[in-house]
Amino acid sequence: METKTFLLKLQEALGEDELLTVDTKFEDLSLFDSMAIMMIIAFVDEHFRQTISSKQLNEMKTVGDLISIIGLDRFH
Amino acid sequence: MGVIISKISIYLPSQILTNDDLLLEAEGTTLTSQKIYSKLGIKQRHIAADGETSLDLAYNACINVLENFIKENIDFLLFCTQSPDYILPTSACLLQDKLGLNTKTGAIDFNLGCSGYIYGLALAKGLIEAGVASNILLVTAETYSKMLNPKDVSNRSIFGDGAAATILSRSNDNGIFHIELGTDGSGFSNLIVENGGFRNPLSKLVLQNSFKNNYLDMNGPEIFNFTLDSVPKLVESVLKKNNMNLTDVDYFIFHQANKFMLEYLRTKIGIAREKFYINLERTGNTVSATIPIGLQDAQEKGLIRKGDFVMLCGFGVGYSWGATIIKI
Repeated sequence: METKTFLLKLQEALGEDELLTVDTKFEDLSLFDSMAIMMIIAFVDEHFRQTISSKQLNEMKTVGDLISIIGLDRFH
Repeated sequence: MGVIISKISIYLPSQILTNDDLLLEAEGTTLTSQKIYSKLGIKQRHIAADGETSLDLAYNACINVLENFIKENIDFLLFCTQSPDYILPTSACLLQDKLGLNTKTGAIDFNLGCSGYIYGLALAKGLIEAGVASNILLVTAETYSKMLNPKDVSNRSIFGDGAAATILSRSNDNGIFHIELGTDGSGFSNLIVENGGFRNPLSKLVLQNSFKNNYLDMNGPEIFNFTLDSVPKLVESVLKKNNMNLTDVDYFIFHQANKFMLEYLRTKIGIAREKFYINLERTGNTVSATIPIGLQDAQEKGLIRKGDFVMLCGFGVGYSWGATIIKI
């Protein structure tokens, strides 16, 4: 998936008004909570057919971290 | 010879906790009533009063279901709860006495949550087909509210208390087809009340424990991962066991965990929206009671009719899961 497309789709999935960048910190997002985590899990499952563990989610700070967890080889 | 579901009745405790009520008690949460409704699908949940236990809810559900039924014909009582009145004796024994069922009735408790109804059907079907019983009262009753930390707004927004009583009877027709069950205890710690049992008895040391150990603790992301991994496979295997395709099933009632998860599962598995039950608006997640409450609700609303094939699917705490196909 194109990184730009990923950022737009993720923004839509999270219901955020502001554009996301790889440096966006999840804790800075106004709507980020346990429900947003659920949406990220579903998003990664739907678009990448991958699981993301609660440990990885706890360690994840930025959108860039999420991209690394999914695997840079899945992006262009 | 087969087994049919003769009747289902429910009982919800009278006290109601709305999203607004709950949020009044929550400090600094980003949750809003609208968010709880749009993401979880819940507007309110019923909460058992102090001194009102799962046994009380069970009793009331049973009184409802035994109306116009000859209670002397009940010869087995299956009581599914994770919040029994006592460590011992068996709560089902007390229920037999309270209901005035005859003393030739068998009675046992079993401790399961979200998969409880499917396991109850499996046990009832086995008992009837083996000739051990003819009319079984399967009760699923839960009061998770009593196990939640008052400050745990997240879990308090999800769970509600409630009970359902189902009469299962031997019949010339068969209404319950092949059942698929499963267990993965490696996930035990992801939905747990850690203290108060015999592994970590309540003692001075244990009472000093953190926020979560004396109360229900749920690792939401891990539970979600578990359902995404196991439920589609469960649906596939129960269809295969019953020699059916997805399109042969008229309606699907899954354990009502939360709306977002259910919607995602529906699209992942490929079930049409109009065939898929989602309704936990007024009850929240009532654990082992969600499926029978949904069955009764779907029938009342005409979403399912006589002759329909309905897939029931329960999954969660344990980890434990099960599914079957019934004919209305």
